[in-house]
Amino acid sequence: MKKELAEALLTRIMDWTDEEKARERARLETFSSYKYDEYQQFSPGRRFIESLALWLAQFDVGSQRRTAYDFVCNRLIFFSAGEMNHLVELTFPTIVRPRLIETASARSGVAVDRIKAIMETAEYRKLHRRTLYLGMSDGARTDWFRRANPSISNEQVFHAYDVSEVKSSDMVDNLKKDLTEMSGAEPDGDDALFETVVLLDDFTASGTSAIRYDEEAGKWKGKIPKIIEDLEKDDERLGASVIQSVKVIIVAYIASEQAIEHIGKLLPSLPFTKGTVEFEVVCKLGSLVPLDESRDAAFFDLMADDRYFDPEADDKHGAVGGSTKRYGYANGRLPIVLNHNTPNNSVYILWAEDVQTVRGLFPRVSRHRKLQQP
Amino acid sequence: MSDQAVMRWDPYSLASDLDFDVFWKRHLAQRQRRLLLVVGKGFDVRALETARRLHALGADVDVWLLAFHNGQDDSALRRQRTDDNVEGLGKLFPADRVKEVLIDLGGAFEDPIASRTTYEQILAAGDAMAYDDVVVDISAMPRMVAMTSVAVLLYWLDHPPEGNKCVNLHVTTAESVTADLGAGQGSLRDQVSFVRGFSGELTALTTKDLPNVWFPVLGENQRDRLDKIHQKVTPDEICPVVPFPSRSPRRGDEIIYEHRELLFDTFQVEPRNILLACEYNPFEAYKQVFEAMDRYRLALNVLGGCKAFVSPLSSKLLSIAVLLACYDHLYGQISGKRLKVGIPYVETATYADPAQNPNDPFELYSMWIRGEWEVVNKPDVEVDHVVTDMIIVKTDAETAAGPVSALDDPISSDITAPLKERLSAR
Repeated sequence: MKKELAEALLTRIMDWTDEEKARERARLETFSSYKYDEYQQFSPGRRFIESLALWLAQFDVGSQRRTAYDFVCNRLIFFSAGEMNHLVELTFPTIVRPRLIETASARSGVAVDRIKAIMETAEYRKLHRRTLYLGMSDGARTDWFRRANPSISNEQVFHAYDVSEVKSSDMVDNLKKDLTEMSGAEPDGDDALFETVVLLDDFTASGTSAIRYDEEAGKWKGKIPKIIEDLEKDDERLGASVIQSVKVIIVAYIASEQAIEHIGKLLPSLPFTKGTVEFEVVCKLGSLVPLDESRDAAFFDLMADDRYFDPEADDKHGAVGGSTKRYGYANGRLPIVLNHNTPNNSVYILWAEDVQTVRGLFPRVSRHRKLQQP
Repeated sequence: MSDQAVMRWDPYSLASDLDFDVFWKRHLAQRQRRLLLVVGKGFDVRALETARRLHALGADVDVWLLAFHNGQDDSALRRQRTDDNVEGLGKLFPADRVKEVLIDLGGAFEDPIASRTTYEQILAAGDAMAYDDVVVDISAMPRMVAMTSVAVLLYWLDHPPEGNKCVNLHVTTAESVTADLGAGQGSLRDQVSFVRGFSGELTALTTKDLPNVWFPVLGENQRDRLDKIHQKVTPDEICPVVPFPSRSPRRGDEIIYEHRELLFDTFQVEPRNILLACEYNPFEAYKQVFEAMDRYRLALNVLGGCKAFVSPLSSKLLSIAVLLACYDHLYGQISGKRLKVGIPYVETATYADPAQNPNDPFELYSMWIRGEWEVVNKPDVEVDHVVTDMIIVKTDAETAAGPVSALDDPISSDITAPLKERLSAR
């Protein structure tokens, strides 16, 4: 839809005066071009203002529409591609490098505050090369991570954590070759393996898909236990590429307080005989980000209206979160949109999928999409 | 590549929040150190935080207390808060260890002279080279005083007399967006002023045809400053810098929205030109600004070069990021043609009463700007003690790019000339 047409539609829907129209149009045009139009799950040709008009139109005329519009103006948080890339860029210098420097200082005997001297040591260079970076999801942006860190070899970065036998042995072979070149002697045993594994993920809001304990089955579930299980195996794939006292650093580019607390609580109990696991976050969302029943009372009333929730959204995958997705998976209550997809921990009304009865402002494409009839 | 630039502050040494005490405890335990603390005599509720921490750690401290005045009577509240801070400082350090350094900011309707007087008074205050560590606490300093103090001390310590020791320079600040906003807006001066040594040769006839690129680092309530600086600089290209990531994830968006009309309607800024700078890591912000400046330096070399102007209109932490980026372009390891670099700002003329709450939360940052952290001295061989008698940073402004020229703007003349005179006189 053309911008002018979408704006005319929006003006009609919101019943704006000329003055309001001028003011709001400027705001919407600014943020459409600065951020919102880049949402990757808009259907072809659709832009933000059209999506907003259609989204608002489903609410009752008057206060409901104003409440919904106020939410967009005052509470919505949209992480653009540029912002996500910046968080990726911050990962190595703010989280990984200080740890490498500290370890290299201890090994080389160079005082820990002699930063540039430490980075010149053989110990630092080896540690740097013996660090493996793996993506935990599509959003890990390992391609951007590579580009942002030219000092990291391509052979140290892989887009997934499910590494094949061939890939794993290839990475170790390349590591051995580089270490031989660095020190002039071929390393063997643990010296020829990775000693730090950095797992990159874009976003975690509840932390349950990362790690949870299934009381009934008596089993750990989620991505982190799966990776740790692979690392425990000495004789195959990922486990065969790392040393016995491997350091695992899990990095989320963005995380909510709920996730930080959840993962921080469970991680120490996760059995891992082969090393240590840490969890770090580049951008913490803070306690004021989730919607609050008193502060956002009008918007909660809107969400509570059954006309704006499709029960089909509460599928079996959502059940893991332990609550309805009306307020977001695992009651996340988030007003968050990521440029490539809206997380389901955000409130449903924001991300309702195109196949559902409610219209979402930034419709989500689900990983767990139901099978469609051909 | 012939036009390469090496960033001096990548990697870096930054201690924040809980790490502040850990860093300073370790640093002070390494050996006997004489510290010079340069602190503002101001009303800010965060003014004494660094002094308190250093005192608690038993540091051997002399203080230069920068007492700035603009010829106006302070309000009762401001005077009371300033007096409280001075009294607090007096309880930490004996009177004979505290030296008051007067800095005339100039009257509200006179020419802005803060940078020039800060520069002169810092140079005249004593010998910074006599200390092992110089710590500039910018928490309670007006921005122009803070930036000039750091710039002049950095340049001074980077250029010690032959065979002199390596003195560390640290910048600390108690950072709080709430406290910054509550510090009182007041009114602005009419004129745009430049940090001493960073005029960008704005008015030089010999470089008047070079394109001007402007990087305003945005914070809240900066419409008037933006407008005044824009009129002065008349930029050909504008790259606003917004804080991201930030403690408040919507902060960048809100700043953009607040200045939307000016940025997009009046200045015609391309949304794609907006840059992001980490709110709580000044060295990462420095990197963003430095790299953006360098992209223009490389791209516009074909046109004979360009002038880059960076205006610090956000937090004090980001002001230091701006200063470092500009300093590195001016004096750092740059191959090929250098940028002309300016730091234009509009100083406050009259201050309003602060609305700060002493209980506003803040985070304390310690940035190690120069010294031992960057010394590279055969680390594989012998480094169980700290080497302090060498300088590793080659501030080779005089090499590839030739000497930094004296500028035509009397307020913002070359930072090096009077300092060189002083150094040679010694």
